[in-house]
Amino acid sequence: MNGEELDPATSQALERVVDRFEKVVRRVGRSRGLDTADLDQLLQDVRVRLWKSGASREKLDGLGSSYLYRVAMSAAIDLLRQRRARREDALDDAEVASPAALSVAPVDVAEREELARRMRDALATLARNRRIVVQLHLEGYERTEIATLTSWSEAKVRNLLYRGLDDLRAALSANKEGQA
Amino acid sequence: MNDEELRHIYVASRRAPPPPGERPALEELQQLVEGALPGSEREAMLDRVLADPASTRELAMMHAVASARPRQRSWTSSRWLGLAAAAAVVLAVTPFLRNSRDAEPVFRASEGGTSLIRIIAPAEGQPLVAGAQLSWHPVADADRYVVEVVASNGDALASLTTPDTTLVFPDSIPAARVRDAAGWMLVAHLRDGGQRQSAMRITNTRTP
Repeated sequence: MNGEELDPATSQALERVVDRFEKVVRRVGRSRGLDTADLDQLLQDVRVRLWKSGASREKLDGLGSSYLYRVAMSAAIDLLRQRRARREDALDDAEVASPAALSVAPVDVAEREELARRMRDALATLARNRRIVVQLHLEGYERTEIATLTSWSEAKVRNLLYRGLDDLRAALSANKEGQA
Repeated sequence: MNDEELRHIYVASRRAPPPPGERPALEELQQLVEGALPGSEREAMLDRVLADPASTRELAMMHAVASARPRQRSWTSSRWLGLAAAAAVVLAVTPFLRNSRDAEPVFRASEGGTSLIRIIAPAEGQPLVAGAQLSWHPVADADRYVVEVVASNGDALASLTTPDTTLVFPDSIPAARVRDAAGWMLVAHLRDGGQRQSAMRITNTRTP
């Protein structure tokens, strides 16, 4: 950080500000399978941006959450842009991480590939709005989060999810029977 | 096949991502998580993002940041508040229909999956009409229940709130709207802020 050091009071104020964001970002990030190192880097970038702003302890303590959100979103976009440019993104290509809770049990490779193909085929048969809700659900998003992302009511999301999962199961069964 | 099994297969089914140039721009993902895209564009963008695992992970990071964003009140919450207020009036004039909770089994909120609430009446396939009595088993730690009536296109037609385990379907909701209902479900709001729901109870066979 330019070789300068923060005085302890300002440093503590900086940590208090970042702490407001950190708990939420880490909790949500982990539930989506984001790597801890990615979240560490993002939060460190936020600290650096706040530090570079030269704000005093008093000013840091008074920062609104909207301002902090803008700083964090800007840091996230820059981080992802760098990753895209370097093409070595841990979020990239075949190395896409799975949520920790979703580590796939080792099964026969051919069987897994067949199941994966059937899943892709089954998803393709769903109506778009149902497919979106079902995929977000399978990615680990809560219904309230899906409602926010889609701007649909929670009741609509619940209905689409209920019917979409039914459709998906039916399509998977049909694919299986079609092969038998 | 339960949701976890579906998730395992889904994770394994993700395709290799398209070349970076074909991915949604990061600014588009930002607009998506901030709700700045119009409805039709939002749906198309989500479909495009979810077809690409790399973009899906980028969306996840932005969504994690956006989760810490200050909340903004949406128009839907105002609508629900109005409906809840209307429902409260209906409930205030029908206290005699309340059942005793003591005689009914109480289901712990921590038991089982999401379909915790067991509906007693009306039976599956029965239409929702004014005067119909809806009843269900209580959920421990629930401080209110919300009956959500859903149209065949997924839109919410009505939302009725009660602290009790029975509710008389009011005549304040136009019959024409109720005829469009594909079903209804119950959501228990717990004192700790959590929610539990029933399975959808279908009222007709039309699908979206």
